[in-house]
Amino acid sequence: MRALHFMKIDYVLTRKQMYFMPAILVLAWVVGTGVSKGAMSLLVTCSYTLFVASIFSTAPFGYCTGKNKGFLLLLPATVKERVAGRFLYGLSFVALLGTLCAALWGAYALAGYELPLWTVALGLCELAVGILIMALEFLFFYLFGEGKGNWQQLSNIVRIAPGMAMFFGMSYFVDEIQEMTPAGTSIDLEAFAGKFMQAGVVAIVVSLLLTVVAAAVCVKVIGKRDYA
Amino acid sequence: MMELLEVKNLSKHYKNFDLKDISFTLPKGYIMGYVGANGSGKTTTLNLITGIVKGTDGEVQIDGLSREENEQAYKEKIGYVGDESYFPDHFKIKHIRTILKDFYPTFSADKFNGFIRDWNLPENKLIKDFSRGMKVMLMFASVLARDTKLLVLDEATNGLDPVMRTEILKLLQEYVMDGERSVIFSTHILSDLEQIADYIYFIHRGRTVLYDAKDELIENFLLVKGESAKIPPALKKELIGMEENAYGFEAILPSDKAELLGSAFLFEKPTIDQIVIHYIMSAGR
Repeated sequence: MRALHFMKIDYVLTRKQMYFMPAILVLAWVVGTGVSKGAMSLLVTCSYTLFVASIFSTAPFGYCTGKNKGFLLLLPATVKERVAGRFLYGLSFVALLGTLCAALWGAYALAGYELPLWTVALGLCELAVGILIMALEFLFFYLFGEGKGNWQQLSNIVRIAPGMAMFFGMSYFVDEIQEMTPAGTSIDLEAFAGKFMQAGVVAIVVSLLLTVVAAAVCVKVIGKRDYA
Repeated sequence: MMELLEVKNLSKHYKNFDLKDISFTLPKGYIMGYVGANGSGKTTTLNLITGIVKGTDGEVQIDGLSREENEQAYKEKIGYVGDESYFPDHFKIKHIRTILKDFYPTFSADKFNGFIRDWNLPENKLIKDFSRGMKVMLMFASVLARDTKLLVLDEATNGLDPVMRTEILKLLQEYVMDGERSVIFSTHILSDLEQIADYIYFIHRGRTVLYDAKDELIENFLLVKGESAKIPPALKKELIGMEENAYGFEAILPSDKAELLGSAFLFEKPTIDQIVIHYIMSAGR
């Protein structure tokens, strides 16, 4: 329960960035439709949204430094609950944006666009990668902190680079598929949709398990530290 | 006497500083002044008590409970007020209220709102825009609005105006009045301790120098003044922190050595301030 309270604290800490979320979704949609058409544009939109999620989900680490975190350290809870709360924040933030992407998928379907199942499966894989990136970033920030000077620059690279790689990777992939199949859909790929779907679900489960492992490592390491 | 706070052989090793074998007890219903020069280890000790710093060695118990036994219950017993605001800058009072309600079963929103109203703390401002006095009062409101056993104050009154300081000292005396709660209070304003402390713990360079009931401590020393030239060697050996100026000298002397004084010197009861200053002078900063 206290882990949920810590998650709530992180939402309060980062409440201002939530105001930008609708604008970011619109931007993601514009980027997606600019790069591709139909269902595949949704993949790009989704990867852009998760790229943003990978940056914004780490915001609580920046808001809670030095003396500012004393109040939170004094709260009656264990390191495990505090770390669990932070990871729950990260997961729920990625899940929130993932849900908004899914809603966009739904809106497309309602509007009568063709939505091949393999694109949905690929969307699940994107979500899994988004979760994994979040977990690795949290691991980095727990173990090494935000830092100062050059170290802070490295922190910023860690915050931006993995999500950006995912976004450009997906844009490149969509581009390649479109070149292979000018219509933007592929019957061959759709034939493997069932397998893709299974792979997507497995990817989500694996990413969640790895998130739990990352959180456990953080608890183990920072449990021995002062001011943690 | 029932002990509320028990500190046994508390040690903390840093690269450039060692806190070594700090031991004391604080009974229920009493206030302890924790004094020493800057960098002497006061904040480290208090952070070890609150548990935000982990000790290299030693043990702390509050009301018979250690942090290792039950971290949540241990922390619920503590109310901490520091020399700087420890709240996230971007919080408002309403956020603090919600968090306290979520985490502390004994938190009383009515009591908290009462303090906010009485001390005119602005509900709609971000904490980063509060004055220093407002930040300190908000810290006090957040700890006094719930049921704590031990108040840990780390130079909480420094930099406050005399009216506010007086109000805080009154609050502390009210806090211990039921005989069930205690306060450990580090400060550079030793006149505050003269007013409210029952015990004094004096630390220097991470080591214990003096630890006693305040009245005993004052009884145990004399402040001696006179002409430097008239000090016999036997007396000079016993004087602590001798300070010489154009008019003579001033030093502290253990009361049991009073027979060495003869009639050539003036002596009086020292203040805590004077005892501490002369000890620091004798040990070197």
